[in-house]
Amino acid sequence: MITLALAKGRTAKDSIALLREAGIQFADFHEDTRKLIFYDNDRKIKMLFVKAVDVPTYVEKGAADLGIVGKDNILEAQTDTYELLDLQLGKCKFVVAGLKEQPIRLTPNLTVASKYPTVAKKFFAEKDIPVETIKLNGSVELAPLIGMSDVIVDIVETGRTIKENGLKIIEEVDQISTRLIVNKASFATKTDSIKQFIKQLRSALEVKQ
Amino acid sequence: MHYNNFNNVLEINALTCEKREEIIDTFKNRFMTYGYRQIRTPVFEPYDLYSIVEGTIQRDDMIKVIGPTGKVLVLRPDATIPIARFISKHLQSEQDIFRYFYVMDVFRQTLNGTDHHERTQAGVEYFGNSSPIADTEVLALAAHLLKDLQIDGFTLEIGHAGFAQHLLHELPLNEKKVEQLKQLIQAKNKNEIEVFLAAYDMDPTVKRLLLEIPQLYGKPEEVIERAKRLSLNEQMAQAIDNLEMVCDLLTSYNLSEHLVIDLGLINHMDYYSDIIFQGFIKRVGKPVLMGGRYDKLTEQFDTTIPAIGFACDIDLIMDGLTLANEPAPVADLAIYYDAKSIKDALILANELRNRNRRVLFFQANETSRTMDETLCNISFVEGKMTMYWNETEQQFSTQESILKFIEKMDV
Repeated sequence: MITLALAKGRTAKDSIALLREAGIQFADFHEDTRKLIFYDNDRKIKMLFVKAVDVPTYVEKGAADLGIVGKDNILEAQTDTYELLDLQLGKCKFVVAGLKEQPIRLTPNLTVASKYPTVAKKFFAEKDIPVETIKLNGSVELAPLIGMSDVIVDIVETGRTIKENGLKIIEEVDQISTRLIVNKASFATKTDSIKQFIKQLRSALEVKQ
Repeated sequence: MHYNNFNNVLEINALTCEKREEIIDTFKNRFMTYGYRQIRTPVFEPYDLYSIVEGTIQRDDMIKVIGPTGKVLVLRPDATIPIARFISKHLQSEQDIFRYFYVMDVFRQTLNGTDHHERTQAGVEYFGNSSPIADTEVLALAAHLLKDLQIDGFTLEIGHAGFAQHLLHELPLNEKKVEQLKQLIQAKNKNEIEVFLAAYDMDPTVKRLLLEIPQLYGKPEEVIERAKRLSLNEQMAQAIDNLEMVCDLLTSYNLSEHLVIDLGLINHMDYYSDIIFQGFIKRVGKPVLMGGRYDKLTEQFDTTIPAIGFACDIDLIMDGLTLANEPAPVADLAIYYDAKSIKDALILANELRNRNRRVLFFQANETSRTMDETLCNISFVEGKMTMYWNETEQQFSTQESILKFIEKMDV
């Protein structure tokens, strides 16, 4: 049996649908469920339904062999795993946004508010711009409006939230979509069942395209 | 470690120690069956020793202390470097062959505070032989250790540091970009490698090769066959020849179900030059064993002596094992005494311990302890020596007769 950690939240429904097309069904799963562990109908896969930010941790620790989670969380967690498939779900991008197209610098350090401080730090470090990051857990757009930060680093799908709050996209950082990650030790010790899982998922993806 | 009782911390601590020692003893025995001898290096070493060695330990990772003279010392952050240095300093001739093993703690700072700073490593270093025979011996020894753990599944992943390395360093990319590409290869992230390469104008055969590398994973014969069909440069072809020879020799060790080749394997220790490998066991999410050939490392200590070795992380191995449900008996005999007979009882206990019996010592009556019927119990009360054993009761008049009886019955 292999264990799959699946991210709760915006891509959960689509991920489950994709798994179904790949012939992997979780009969007792529905959107409002409070259950955390599910078994597929063939009882070959155990699914852990966990918070998206925790998926990379479950996989790196080997508590789950596989994980289905957004690239945003993979980048933020910086874990050492294999990333074997792009599931093409939940596509969006990481952007830097601010009040104007150029960040105004009134402080010695540019302050960046983000749910993803590691990603933000890394992005600015590569540009050799010293920054101070502020970790927020939601409504990040508020930070530049009230002067808590100069810019934000966040994911945008349509850009509506950014626009409605009068912010402008300054730069794109990275493309995001849902990925399949695999624990390296599991890949070595359960190669056949993991390869089979990937094969099924890949053919479901090919049918979709 | 899979504990079966969260509250019994003391019991678990003792059980864990026993299990650890058992593993270490098993490993030591195994090392000796291959003719390796134990070696030790100091815990405190000069910081300079590590800071000048290139491509090894991140400076920030080392735990530093200031010595009484103001010199900066580090707690041994790695086992291979000090041993390689030691050998280089005391080498008579570069043709000498040395086989050493060690069981030592290594110390590192870790970025997230949750990790331990201290790890016990058991490993070997084999100096002076660069032939595939030496590679085979060390790989077989690594596999043998994991087999000795008697767990249901382990895998040894074999790669070659020279395979991807040469190709990567020939690319028209700066160091940062090479590092980025290396990470993508290590993550077997085919999609992003494709996106990454699309931005550069490169020979399409090189691009195809870079995309193939992470896929070169699987049974040795199969992967070697597939790799040979690719258009490899000279060093890559040599790497494959080397791997083929080693895998062919390994067939004599009956390990085929445990071996996997992974040509996308890149070790973060840059001192590896040729074959590299890592071992995985079930229920542990990280490699429990890592090693490889490092022929260039001793050049940093002004000699050239080929070497191959590996280190096995005892703490990680423990994570994959289950503690026994029932603690093993800690003693063979228990002696109960009263105030009058304490000296006689002590003499007997001492005599038994000299004969390698494990003896517990209790005061009769005063303790709330009831006799443990799985042991052989001897009581010295009111001048009488009584043995309670195997549901029988027997009187003895002299200590000699008790000792004789114990020897005879092999208690």
